Amino acid sequence: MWVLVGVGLVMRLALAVGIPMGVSPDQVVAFGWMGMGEIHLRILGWIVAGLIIAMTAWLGERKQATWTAVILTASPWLTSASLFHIWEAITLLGMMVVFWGGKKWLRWAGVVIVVASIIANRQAWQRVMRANLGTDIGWSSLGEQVNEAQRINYLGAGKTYMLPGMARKIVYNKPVLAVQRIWVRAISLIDFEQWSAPLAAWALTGMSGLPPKGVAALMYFWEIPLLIMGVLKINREWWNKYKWWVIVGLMPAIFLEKKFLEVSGMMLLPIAAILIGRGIARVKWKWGRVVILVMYIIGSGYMFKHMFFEQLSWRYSDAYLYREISVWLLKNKMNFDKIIVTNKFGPMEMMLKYYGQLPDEKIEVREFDVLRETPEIKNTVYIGLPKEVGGGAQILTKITADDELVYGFGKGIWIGKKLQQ
Amino acid sequence: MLALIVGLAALLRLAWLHKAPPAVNWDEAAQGYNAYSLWLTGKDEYGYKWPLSLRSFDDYKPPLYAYLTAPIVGIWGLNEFTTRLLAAVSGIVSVGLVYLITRKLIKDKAVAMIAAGMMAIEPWAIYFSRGAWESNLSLMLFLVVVWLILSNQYGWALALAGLNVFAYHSAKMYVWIIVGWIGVKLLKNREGWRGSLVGIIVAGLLFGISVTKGAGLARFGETSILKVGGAAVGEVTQRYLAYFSPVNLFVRGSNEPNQRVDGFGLFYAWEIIFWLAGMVWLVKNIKENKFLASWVALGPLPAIITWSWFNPVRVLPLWAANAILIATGIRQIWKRLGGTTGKWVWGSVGGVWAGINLGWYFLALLFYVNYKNFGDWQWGFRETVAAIAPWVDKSDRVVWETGQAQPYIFVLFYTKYPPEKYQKERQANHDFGKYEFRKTFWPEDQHLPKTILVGGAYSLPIEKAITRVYDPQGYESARIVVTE
Repeated sequence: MWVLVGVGLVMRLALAVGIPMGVSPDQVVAFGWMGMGEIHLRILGWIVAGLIIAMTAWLGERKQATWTAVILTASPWLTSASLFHIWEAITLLGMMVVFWGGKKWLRWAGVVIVVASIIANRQAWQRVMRANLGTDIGWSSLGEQVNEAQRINYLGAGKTYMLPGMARKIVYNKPVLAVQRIWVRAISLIDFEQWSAPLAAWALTGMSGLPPKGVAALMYFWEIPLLIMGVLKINREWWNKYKWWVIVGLMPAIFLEKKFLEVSGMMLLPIAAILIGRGIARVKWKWGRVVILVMYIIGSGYMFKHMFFEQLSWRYSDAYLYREISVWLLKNKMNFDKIIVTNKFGPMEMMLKYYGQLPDEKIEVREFDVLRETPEIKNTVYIGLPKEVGGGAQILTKITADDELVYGFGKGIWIGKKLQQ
Repeated sequence: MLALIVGLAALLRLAWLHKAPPAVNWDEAAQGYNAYSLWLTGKDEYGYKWPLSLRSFDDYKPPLYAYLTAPIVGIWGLNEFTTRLLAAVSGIVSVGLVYLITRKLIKDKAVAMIAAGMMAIEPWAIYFSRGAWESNLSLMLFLVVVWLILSNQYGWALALAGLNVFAYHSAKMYVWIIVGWIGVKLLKNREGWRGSLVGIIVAGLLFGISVTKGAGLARFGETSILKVGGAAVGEVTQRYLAYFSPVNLFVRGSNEPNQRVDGFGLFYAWEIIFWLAGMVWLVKNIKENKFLASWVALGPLPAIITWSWFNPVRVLPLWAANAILIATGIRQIWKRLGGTTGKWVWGSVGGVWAGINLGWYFLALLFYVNYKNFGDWQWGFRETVAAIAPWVDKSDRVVWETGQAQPYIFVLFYTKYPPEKYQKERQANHDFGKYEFRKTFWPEDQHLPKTILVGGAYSLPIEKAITRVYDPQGYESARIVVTE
């Protein structure tokens, strides 16, 4: 099975390096200052994932080390983390060293890695932290929620009835509501749909605030029963070994919004792999384990295909568009005297700098509407959203995408020249 | 104690039954009116005599709910309360049945009492008892079947399981699971096989009738996963797991608008600990509890072959099994609580917490839904029918514009339109008598003589309105104009 792990890792590296996926603005902020390009990021992510696999297999139960390695090599969660959340994955690696480093100096090194990775990735963390449980259970927020519930009850009764004051105090009060909010948030983490089919089951996951795109599955559907089997096998010895890891790992997952579980719950990733491994160990029938292995091979093949070759079906297209615009500029900018690029859907200037297209006197980044433009330079080209470019321009090319990044502005990017220039 | 629990169940199911939910929805109106029609004419709304399937909106509803409701609406009149009463009574009876079943399954009176108590207060059990949900009637029949099986009355159990297919579509799947269970039992012990054989024949006949009469598999054909590109293993498994996903059970509930109360799952969030404890207990004692384990494991089957991810109304028997599991979990944890003081402290805290949760849920059901989610219940027809009532006799025509589908059934329901008359006057698009259901166009419709026009705020001029209907949030939901 170690051969399979090796093959899986080589495949992952080949896909990560060979199939461009674009770099997100968060990654540009976090890594751009080091001068790291997309390929560097992919290789770094692959190395981090490899270390996580090795450490988890080594630290987890030795008997199931091979299975743990197989599970993590095929893991959609780790694959996604190594591609799009590299700093968070490095933080996880650091935490593993802190908890299980053995020697004191190693643990301190782990602390340094954790602190450094959080600082380097502070912009992404700030965004993730913006909406958290704290704001929901703040004293004034609780007061508003208590008042709102009673107001709606009163209006729902046609302003004819209200519970007696004492009953209202018992049923609607802030401490009870706070406990309920925390409790519900904790239960919300056990969401099989979010774990294995966040987009296919969006009718349900959308109710928990998950967006219709951009959320990766954390595990395969067959891993859920195996995980449950593993949990049922937890004994005191296991609990004593991992309890602080689990408790510390749960905190950010509960505290932060559910849609960020992929990063907020990342500490739970190795634990999940170890528990799934324990679950597999409970399958006593040899052919059952063979079937599971075959499912991992087929499932990971499908997952890699979906993740790398059908990117736009599950990701928002912004990172892809930044990259495609840069590629187009690289090939075509010499043919134009002026190029105006939209920043309507994100930090275009930063992204073009990252891809080496800026600074360039020819290129100007701003919002526009071609219909209202009067180009000062004759040979000017506009790169923008369909609504910005369409109507008043001769379209030279279109970069197609599946989603509308700005409501009402159309899908993808159009590149065109103003008519009658 | 059981009487108190049943009393509480009755209170939670019958109190303000006519007002909460705030109006009858399409299906309730159809059940009520067809029951009314059957009582007065022996025919459904289409004029089919003693039908074995109600055509309704071409969804071919199983007819048992309407047949059993017919005498209720016949004697006490057609209204929200009488239409929903059968579901509410089914819910109350189910509480008692859960007690009887749990006593036989777990052989512990305390667990049986707790299970009945849980069944009385569970959000899903209250919710589906407060609308004319035929699935709740089917649940009650299913529980009787289970009780008969546990009492070794296989013949009667099978016959009743066969009858249940006329109560709700899901029973068409459950009946074969029951036949299979009893078949396996009989293979091991042939005692009483004659009665069972008769029962299997009866169940098979009833099943056959239900699927051959009036396109009885129409609903299955519409919603089946098989229709949408093959039952892939992954798709089916993921849907199956959705019925055990804690967030669905304890937090999120269904995404179907009229199957949910915002902020609540099917069970209270606090119950998860006991549910988990019950599950662990079941896994550890699976050999002695094969029936309960099979009930839990096979419970989602009728729903997973349909395309939707999580549709709780289709698997109410599964939730009843979960209530028993939760009761078992409570008992298991109670045993481990230590001394009397510990039990008192934790019991009191738990009791208060459960009471507060029940308060939240019931108040939300009574008031929040009425104010915030009235649209999910097709609110407004009752009020509009009352608003136009003074002019209907003096008018030649009523033109009704609405964004709601199937508006005719609400008008039939709230006007108590004579079924015999409707059966004769009904047109292909469900217009009848003076009533036309179409878009209004004021420049032309204003010239229609003696016509009541019912429309929205953007379709009829405000200066001509004789009255307006406002929704619970104070927005205009209907504007009424009467021409001369």
